[in-house]
Amino acid sequence: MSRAPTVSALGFHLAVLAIVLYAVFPFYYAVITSLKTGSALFRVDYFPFSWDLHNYVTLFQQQPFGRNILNSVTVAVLVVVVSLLLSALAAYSLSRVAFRGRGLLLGTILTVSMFPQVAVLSGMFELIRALGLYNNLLGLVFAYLIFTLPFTVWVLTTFMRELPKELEEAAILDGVSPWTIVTRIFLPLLWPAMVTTGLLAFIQAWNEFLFALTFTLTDDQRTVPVAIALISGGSRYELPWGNIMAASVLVTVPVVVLVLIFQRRIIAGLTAGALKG
Amino acid sequence: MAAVSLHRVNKTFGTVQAVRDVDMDIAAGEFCCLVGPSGCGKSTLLRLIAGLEDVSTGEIRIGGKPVNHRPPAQRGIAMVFQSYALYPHMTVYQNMAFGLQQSRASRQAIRERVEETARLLQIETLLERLPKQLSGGQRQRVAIGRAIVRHPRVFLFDEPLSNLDAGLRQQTRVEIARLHTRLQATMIYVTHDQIEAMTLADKIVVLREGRVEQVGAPLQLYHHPANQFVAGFIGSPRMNFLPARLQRNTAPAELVLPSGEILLAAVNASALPIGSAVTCGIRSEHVELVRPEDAYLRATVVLREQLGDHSLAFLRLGDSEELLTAKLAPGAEPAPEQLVGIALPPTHCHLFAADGRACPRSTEANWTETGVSSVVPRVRRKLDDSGSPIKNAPT
Ligand SMILES: Nc1ncnc2c1ncn2[C@@H]1O[C@H](COP(=O)(O)OP(=O)(O)OP(=O)(O)O)[C@@H](O)[C@H]1O
Ligand SMILES: [Mg+2]
Repeated sequence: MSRAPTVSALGFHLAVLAIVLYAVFPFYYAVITSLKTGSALFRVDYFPFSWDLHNYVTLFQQQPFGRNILNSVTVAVLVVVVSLLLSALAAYSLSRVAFRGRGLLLGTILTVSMFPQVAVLSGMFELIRALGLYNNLLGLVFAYLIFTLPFTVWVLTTFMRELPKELEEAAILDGVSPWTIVTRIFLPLLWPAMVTTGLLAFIQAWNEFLFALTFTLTDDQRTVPVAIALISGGSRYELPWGNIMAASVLVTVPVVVLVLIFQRRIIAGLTAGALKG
Repeated sequence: MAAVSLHRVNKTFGTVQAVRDVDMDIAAGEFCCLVGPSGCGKSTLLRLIAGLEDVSTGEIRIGGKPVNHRPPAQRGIAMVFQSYALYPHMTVYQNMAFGLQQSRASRQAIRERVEETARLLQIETLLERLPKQLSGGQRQRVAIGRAIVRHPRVFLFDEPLSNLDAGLRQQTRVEIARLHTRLQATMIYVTHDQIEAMTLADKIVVLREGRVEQVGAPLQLYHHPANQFVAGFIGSPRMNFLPARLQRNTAPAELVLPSGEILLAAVNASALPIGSAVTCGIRSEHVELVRPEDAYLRATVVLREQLGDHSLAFLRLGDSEELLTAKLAPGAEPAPEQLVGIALPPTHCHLFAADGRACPRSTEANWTETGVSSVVPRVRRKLDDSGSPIKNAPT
């Protein structure tokens, strides 16, 4: 009788180990590769034998990589701020104000989030050209909203719906304007959900490649994913693996750190929705 | 303190008509209870007065002025919700001050008002706590405090005590009554609880399916219900109803039960035709148990319930399905399965027409002693008179 739990526990731990390996190994391999130079790059090692930061140094010397990082941060932060602001207000009306066509509107928003990026690429390109935002970071922010907004609106609407109606009514009796209801009552209560969706929006914007490639032209307007893809070696035949790996590690670290910081919040945010309704 | 009046108020939600043609006048300073079965529109009516819902048709006046188009905050009302609806992320102090801050009162004035209210409700020590750090009863007080602090002219309560346990409910009930005396404010109070309505109210409004069935003082509703619904709804245990046929419609009215026995009721039934189907109602405390040989009506005891200061006996009359409830003083309990005689004093009988309307009950003076005594045996010995209750008496 006592053996069955041990066997299943063992199986469970093996499964966990496999998943962790599968998830972490590519990143680990990137880290150790980024620390190698020269021909060592093409040897398969599973342990870091050398500690050479050469790749990291040249990364910043050969291209405006610092500038690229700054671009990425700017774009991602702006996307998060704008999406959260717009979606909090949209969620309030979608969840609390009864109006004709509300269901249709919600359905449309959800549909938009399912369009493949390529499908909207050319249309978006025209739009951005027309607005004069080509090769401009604001153009990227604008383009990214198309996939962050549906998601943040949807999630915040779901969360806001679950807040008791009486809270809002109590505030109405207290003589509070809709704006204050959103900012003073709903937002503080939706904080965990905001952090979660904000973080996911940040990651989406941070990693986005296709729009960033299409809508920027010059090195100094590029974001990190594009910059990495365009890192080139001394000649056509040389692929600077070391630099690419160093760059990958640099752009992954902030995301990992953010997730670790907000881990508690994210879990709270994800489960808070699951508990009720 | 302000009077509230509703004039032909209707409210429909899609196809559901929640409130129908309600007319209501609540005087300034009055304590008015709205009662009725679940779904009868009590909350909806309260929310209409609060302005959380718009009336479909009709007019609501507070303090004599129409408020149909005024937003809730400008109606001079405060509402206590069943779920309390305290802001979870604010301390007790902030909860109470939130509404005042919107009205641009000075910081100092707000603090004074909140503290004064907190003292009144004895929650001064809780001001810095969050709602989740309070017990149910404390949350209740804070919810009431949040209403009081705004100095409203009318208080609205939607089943404020239903989340409390029995002891706390009674205690809070007494406090609300004291608060009413002290603040002299108009209060409109929705409740399921008979006792709350009977003890707190100056005026009770009984609603059914969105309609007002009767308005009156608690004892008026208790003794002179306008119809069978109100009679059955007010009072616990429920009033007993016996189906019968009208045999004589001059006072005292004479009824025949399906089993053939004759009952008298001291009511004015002259509006009803002889031979019409009627219902006789009598409250459990007026059902008297007597020796079987002294009564025309006999019943077997099915069940007894001991409640300490009194007991209830459930009796089967003949072979009818419905049991008759009798409320008895302690010491007078018959044994189960015992055969007992039943006396229904005519002065305590209510009579309802087939459509439920009540016949006006006469006062003692206008029915003749002789008319009654011809049917009711003159000598009625109470069960407990004999010392030892009769067991298995012959029929
Ligand atoms: N927002 C709404 N939309 C549609 N129907 C509603 C709405 N609010 C109430 N109703 C309907 O109106 C009727 C009265 O509801 P209300 O909540 O006033 O009942 P109540 O007397 O307070 O009942 P309870 O004692 O159970 O609280 C019900 O039939 C209810 O289904
Ligand atoms: Mg209700």
